[in-house]
Amino acid sequence: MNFDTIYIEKKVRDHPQTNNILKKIKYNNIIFCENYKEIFNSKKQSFRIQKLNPSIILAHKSNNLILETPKNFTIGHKKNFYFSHMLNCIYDCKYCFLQGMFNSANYVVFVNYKDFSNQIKLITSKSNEVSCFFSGYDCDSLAMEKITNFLDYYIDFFRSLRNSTLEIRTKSINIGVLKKKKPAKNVIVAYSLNPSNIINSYETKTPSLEKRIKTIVKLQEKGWMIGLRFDPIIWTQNAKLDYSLFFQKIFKKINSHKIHSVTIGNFRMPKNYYKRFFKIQKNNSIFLQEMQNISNLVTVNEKIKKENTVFCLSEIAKYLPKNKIFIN
Amino acid sequence: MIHLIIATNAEARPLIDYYKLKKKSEFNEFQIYSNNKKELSITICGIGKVSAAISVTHTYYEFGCQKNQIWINFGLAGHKNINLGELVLVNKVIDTTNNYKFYPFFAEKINLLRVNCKTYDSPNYNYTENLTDMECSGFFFSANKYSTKELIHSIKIISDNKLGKINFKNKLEINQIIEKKIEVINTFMIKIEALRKKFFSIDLKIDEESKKIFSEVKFTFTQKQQLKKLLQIYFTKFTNLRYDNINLKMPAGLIISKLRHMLDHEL
Repeated sequence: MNFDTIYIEKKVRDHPQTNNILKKIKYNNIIFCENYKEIFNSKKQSFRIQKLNPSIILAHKSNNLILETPKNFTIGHKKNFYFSHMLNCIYDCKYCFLQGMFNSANYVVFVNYKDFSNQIKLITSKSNEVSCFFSGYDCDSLAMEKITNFLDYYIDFFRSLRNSTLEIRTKSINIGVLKKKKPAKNVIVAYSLNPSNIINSYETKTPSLEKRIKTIVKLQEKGWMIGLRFDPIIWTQNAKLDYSLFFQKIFKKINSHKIHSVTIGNFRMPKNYYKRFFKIQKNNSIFLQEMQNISNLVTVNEKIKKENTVFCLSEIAKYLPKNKIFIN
Repeated sequence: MIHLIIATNAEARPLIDYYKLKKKSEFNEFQIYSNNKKELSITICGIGKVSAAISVTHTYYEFGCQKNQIWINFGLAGHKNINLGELVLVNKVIDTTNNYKFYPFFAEKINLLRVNCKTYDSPNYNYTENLTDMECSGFFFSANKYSTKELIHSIKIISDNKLGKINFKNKLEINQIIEKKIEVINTFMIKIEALRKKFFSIDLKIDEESKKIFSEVKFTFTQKQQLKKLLQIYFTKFTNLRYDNINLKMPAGLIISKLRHMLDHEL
């Protein structure tokens, strides 16, 4: 992968993971900084322009390494956490909350993986219940694997833990690391899926639906547990027919007995993020959807939300038991 | 519009001549030059970061307070070992007094050497791996109030290094060293201008059209936001707003739903 500029926090300039990443990428300029926030958090930046040619920042994450998820965000576990070894994503989905959350489209990679895993160990050691750890909240967990080696490290780490599950949320078909490794029982590879017309209109730079399905089939054959994430559902004029055919297609090709869980979600974004998102997005038909603001969370209109959730739930229930379906 | 902020007249002269700029005579706080089409201006800011910062603000107000315009600081600078006459881009600015830092962003591939620049309060002749100047930090600090980071840059020509320097008292020599690089500077500015047009020209249209509609029809705050967003989508597809489906005698809600309906069928 080529980058115009790589920024490196001075405190990680000699970190082994920094050296690993530097060996794998090409770059024109290298700039050292004290703290990634000097570049990433500064105001008056254009997320949209930066998306043309994002730089990469190698940094150290010092606090808030592992965070609790919102209460209703679950795939069946009582204790749920998320963590981000990376901020931002190589894809450019029009509905993505990252563009409302961050000032910059540069990629930040936190190289101190061990600090994350120590924190995870600490959390799991305090609990008798199985905790679920979601990665891929603030990035795509798999898409940059060739550079980050994130999963190469974390799959083996989670394999060694008894009472925890790792969800790898992705749209990527870059599954080299998953082919190489023996499947872990407590690791779920969760694919975000949408009908092809929605992918074409909203999920810029992502692999096609066909490619994602093929990849899922390969992973199932290899023995990996699969999650399907229909989130966000985008309700267009012919949505019922589109989604009905879409579910039919998926469950015809994918082995539904080997699916760990399915989640359904609607477009939602904290009001503050939405304001920025609204400001910077020019050609985005997501704004043609009717939105509402309830308790500082912007979502699609309640009526549409109910209609599409009920519809998708009943459609998916044709192929899967309801206890595997979660609404986020 | 492109605003160039340059410390001295001698450094600005080759560019003023090349772009055939005329002096705006009504102001004497700063010398400002621009062309008739108002696509380019040059402000002579004088020496020092405070002057640079004030000149940016002055220029911003002088040209109608337009946000997200291009701001370029240009000038001569010293470096330890970069060849005299070489054109470089600043990729990190550090203010040596207050530790303010700025990191310009390059949206496209640009084949120019990039160097850090340290801004001092007084002349510094200790050559290091960094450029040294007295304006950059003030320039960036101020320009970033009015424009997005990706449109703000500093271009320097190396005038002195540990092996030698040009004669700063000789205007002809300064002229020659700059003239040789004007085409490169021009190409760089064209690239940035294309970027600005791509990302910000719609904003102006939306402002104009929504002002026109709001002056005729009463909109609530939420309706205003809705209309602006719909216009944003509309102008990515069409050049002018068609008034055959909507008219300014309609209530706000109807204008919004008609526009949404049009877009629903176009997108």
